[in-house]
Amino acid sequence: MATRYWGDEKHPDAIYAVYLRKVRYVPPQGYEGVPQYHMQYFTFDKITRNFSRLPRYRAIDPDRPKTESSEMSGADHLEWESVKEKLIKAGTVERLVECLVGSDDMMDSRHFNVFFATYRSFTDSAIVLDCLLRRYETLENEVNGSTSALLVQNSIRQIVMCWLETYPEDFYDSDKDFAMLSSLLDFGGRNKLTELRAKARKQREVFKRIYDEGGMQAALPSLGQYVADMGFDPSDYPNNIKERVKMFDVGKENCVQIAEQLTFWDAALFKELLIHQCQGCVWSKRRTAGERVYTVKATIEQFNSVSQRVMTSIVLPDCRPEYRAKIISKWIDIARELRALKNFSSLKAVLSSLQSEPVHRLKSAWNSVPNRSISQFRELSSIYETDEDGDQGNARKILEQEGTAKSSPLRRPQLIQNCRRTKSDVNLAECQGTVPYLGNFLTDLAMVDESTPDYTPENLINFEKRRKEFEVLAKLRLFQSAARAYNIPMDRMFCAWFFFLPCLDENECFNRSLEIEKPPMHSTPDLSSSRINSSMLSNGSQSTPVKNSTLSRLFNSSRTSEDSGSHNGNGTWHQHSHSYSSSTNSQIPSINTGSSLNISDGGVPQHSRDSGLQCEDWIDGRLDGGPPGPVPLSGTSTLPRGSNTNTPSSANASWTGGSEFTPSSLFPYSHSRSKSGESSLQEVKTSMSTRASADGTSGTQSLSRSATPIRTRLAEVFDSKVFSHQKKGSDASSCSSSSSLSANGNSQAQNSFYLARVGLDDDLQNTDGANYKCIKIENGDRMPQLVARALEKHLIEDDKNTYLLVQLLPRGGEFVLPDNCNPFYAMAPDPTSPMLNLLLRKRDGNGTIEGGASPQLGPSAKKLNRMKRTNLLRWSSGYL
Amino acid sequence: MSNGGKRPPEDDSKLPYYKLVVIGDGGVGKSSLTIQFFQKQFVDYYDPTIEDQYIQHCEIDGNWVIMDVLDTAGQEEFSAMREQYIRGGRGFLLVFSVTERKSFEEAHKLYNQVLRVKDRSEYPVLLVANKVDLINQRVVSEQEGRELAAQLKLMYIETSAKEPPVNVDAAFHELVRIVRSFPSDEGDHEASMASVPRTKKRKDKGKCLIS
Repeated sequence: MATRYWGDEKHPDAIYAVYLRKVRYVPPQGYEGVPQYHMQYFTFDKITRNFSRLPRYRAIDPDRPKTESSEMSGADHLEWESVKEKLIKAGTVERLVECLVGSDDMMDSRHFNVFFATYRSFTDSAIVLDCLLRRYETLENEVNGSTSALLVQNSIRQIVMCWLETYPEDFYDSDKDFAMLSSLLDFGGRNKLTELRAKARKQREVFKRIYDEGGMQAALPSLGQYVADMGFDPSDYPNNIKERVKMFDVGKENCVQIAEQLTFWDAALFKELLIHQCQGCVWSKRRTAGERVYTVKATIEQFNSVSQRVMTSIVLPDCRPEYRAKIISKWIDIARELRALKNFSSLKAVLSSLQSEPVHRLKSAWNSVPNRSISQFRELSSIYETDEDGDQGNARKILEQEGTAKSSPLRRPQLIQNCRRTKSDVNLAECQGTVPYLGNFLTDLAMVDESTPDYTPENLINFEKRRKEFEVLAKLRLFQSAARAYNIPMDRMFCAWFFFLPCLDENECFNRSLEIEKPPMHSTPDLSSSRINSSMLSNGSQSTPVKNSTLSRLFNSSRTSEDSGSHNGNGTWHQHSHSYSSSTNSQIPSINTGSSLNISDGGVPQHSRDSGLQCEDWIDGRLDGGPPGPVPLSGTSTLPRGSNTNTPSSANASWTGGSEFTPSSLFPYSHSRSKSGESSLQEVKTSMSTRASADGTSGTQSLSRSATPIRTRLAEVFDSKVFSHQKKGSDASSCSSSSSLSANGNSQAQNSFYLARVGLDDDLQNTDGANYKCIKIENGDRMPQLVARALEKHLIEDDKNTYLLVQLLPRGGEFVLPDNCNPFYAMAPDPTSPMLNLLLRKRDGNGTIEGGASPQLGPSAKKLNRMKRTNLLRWSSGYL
Repeated sequence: MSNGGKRPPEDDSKLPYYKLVVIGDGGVGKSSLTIQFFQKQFVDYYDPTIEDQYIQHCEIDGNWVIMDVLDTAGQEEFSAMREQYIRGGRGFLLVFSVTERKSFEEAHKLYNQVLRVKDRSEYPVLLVANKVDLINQRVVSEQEGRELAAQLKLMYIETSAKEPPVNVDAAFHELVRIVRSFPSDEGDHEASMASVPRTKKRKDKGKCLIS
């Protein structure tokens, strides 16, 4: 629109900027029809226009080409004129309130928006309401005969209604009488404004309920509160945070769900954000007037609780760097999903935790993070990096570009992969919202507040400043409406799962991080003495006592500090493990004495006595390389992983089935919780003793290397709770490979999964020939789960127990995968093909595998295999 | 204004580039220092929501430098963010308010956090006692401030961002001097951290190494 600044108009109580606007006219087409204003109104354009004031000519946008010129040719008319428009720059409260009604006696919605978003910084709601109502009642006296007065009254009524609708919280107060609403009700009664009264009354009912339920703050959505409300039983989760940290299960494909549920909560809180609480002058007083910013705080609390849980989930487990790398990778995967969901708040929370010192410094873990994840992480992080060339922040650009767009430009690979799952189907529609990272807005608003004075030299309220603030606030408002576009159903069990994820504060995490990986400088005394990194590392030169004290604090173990003193910084692996085991009042004699792959028989029972009866079998079977085959207990051990494909648990009946996050699936051993706790203690010891060995001098290296395989296997077993029995051959080979990996400590990107094509056996095949599906086999997968997944891919709805998987070996052989193996290890490597080749086969009658799992090669099978292989290869060449 | 009469060199790509971060507890007046320092640069039009406007050419002791200041005022409560901001900085204004003892104690902790993130025993940091104009509300004396600075082996300066500003430019300039005099073995340091992606990337850019 052609507007130009004309000059300022100064009054004692207000300063206006005057603009000249060119308005072009076209004659009306008769007098019927609604006049079209080509002026821009914003959202609150609910003014009932008064038809008696119909302009004879309607104004059109002067920039528009004259398409209607032919119609206009008939009558003489005014083609255009300049209209003076006033915009208030500064003024008293009264003047600013007055401007809510524009010069045309209508509500000025632009001014309304800016004013009501920002007025709390210079006045309070009671005064504003009083101004409005007084003006209305003053007009009452002169209303007779004056259409203008009637119009203004009408506009005031509109303004109050819009105010009440848009900022109801302004009418709330913490004592129950709600004085503003009462005066509004009185006012409505006096002036017979039934609509207004009804609205105010309704609002009062709402407020009464909110008041009775604990006030506005309690009315905010809160994950913790929700968990408490759903009558949830904390005893379903172990008290021991060491045990709870396993709830974050790297083997489970639930990145999408986690990202979605985080987004649900971020969006829920962001939608409730009262934008005026972000205003610089309000937010900067958060220390003294915390109740004025409770919605902002709630958003930040959620942000912090995400980041703390991420950090804790990475530093708390006692595990090998490779496993920690998997935790990191999983969070990167979740971050990717968050990015695709345009949830920039949790995305930033996850990324900043990965960049926080406790996690960032864990070089051994980062070394094992696959390159794919690293580059993904780098890409995601670059969103937030301010370019050092001084370019505009990437994050802002991205927010602007896609913040309110309906869909994300990123594909969601994980989503596509998982689309067979029914739970996320809602989001396949890509009806998406946005949650921005609030911090940038808070900084912008703080800076705007700081850079502009509140009052002009004439001591008038500087309303230009509020306009500038409103630019930022309006963006927030826009994103709030975008956040409503999410269509994610809440998973109740996620809330409990998330709530009970262990959560240590930053310093605890840092101390824990130091335990995992000693600061590198400590090896050389001269450097460590120069460190004045006092409060954190004051006793750094001997970090082991620190380690022990925190460990015992964290895990309530019975470790004593005098024991730990015996292995300060040196000593052999043997000594270490001894001191650790003695300090925990239990022993791992097999590891103490055994320097070969096989654990001596004498050692094992001792061990299993500690870790409980369940372990007895698997330790025997596995580490002795015993005969493969089903072992009674292994069936229960499969539960923790395969939960989503397994039948719903026997958990609390109030829980809706099908959640990824049921505690029963996480902690199947409710009857043996203490035992699993102990077994994790074993794990602490084992991994610690070997960690100590890795730190040891070169003289002990041969010893530590020979011990590593056992440790690795043990840790593996504990980490993934994979209690499997498998062929000795493959066992040994995977063992040796992992030992070589962990021996040098910085193995890059060990393949953590295989891809496999799954075909159907002949009797399952439909007529239309070869049909292969690709599945991913991860370390930690269980056979029943894998079979179920294969069936699902092939859209076969049948009992998974009646199927088995057969690997087609490179030379035309078959290998029937045992029911209880860890398929990741059991599969034979196939150098001839980029993927492993599997067949889904129906079991014969009794449902068992005949003759163990040895490769068997009948003549018919050979033929079949050759056929299959040709098919598979054809398929693969087309695909890869 | 040190750069009043002279103009910065045409080609600024060779100028030393300093990424400075203003840290301190919430409400200590970080933003007012930053704004005070930058606002005069853009007298007619200053939009603090544009990130470009926190970059300034400065002549310090006869040498031109580029200062890029990061001030995350308002984000103090996002605790996980702090270390990320610290990691990007080459020098820090560590601000506390003389009217608030808690912010003084917080300054000590923040310094330790800087050392922790940088994995150093010392780092270019200037301890800034802000709001010295509020004489009546002052609860941290200059002596206390200097003692803490001595204890942490830091330089110390007292500032006020209210008109007329006291020592605001001096604080930023002094920090540049401190950064400049600090032995720059950032390269080695980052090479050792190269396993972690962020630092690797920063190293690739290598801009801040020219000093």
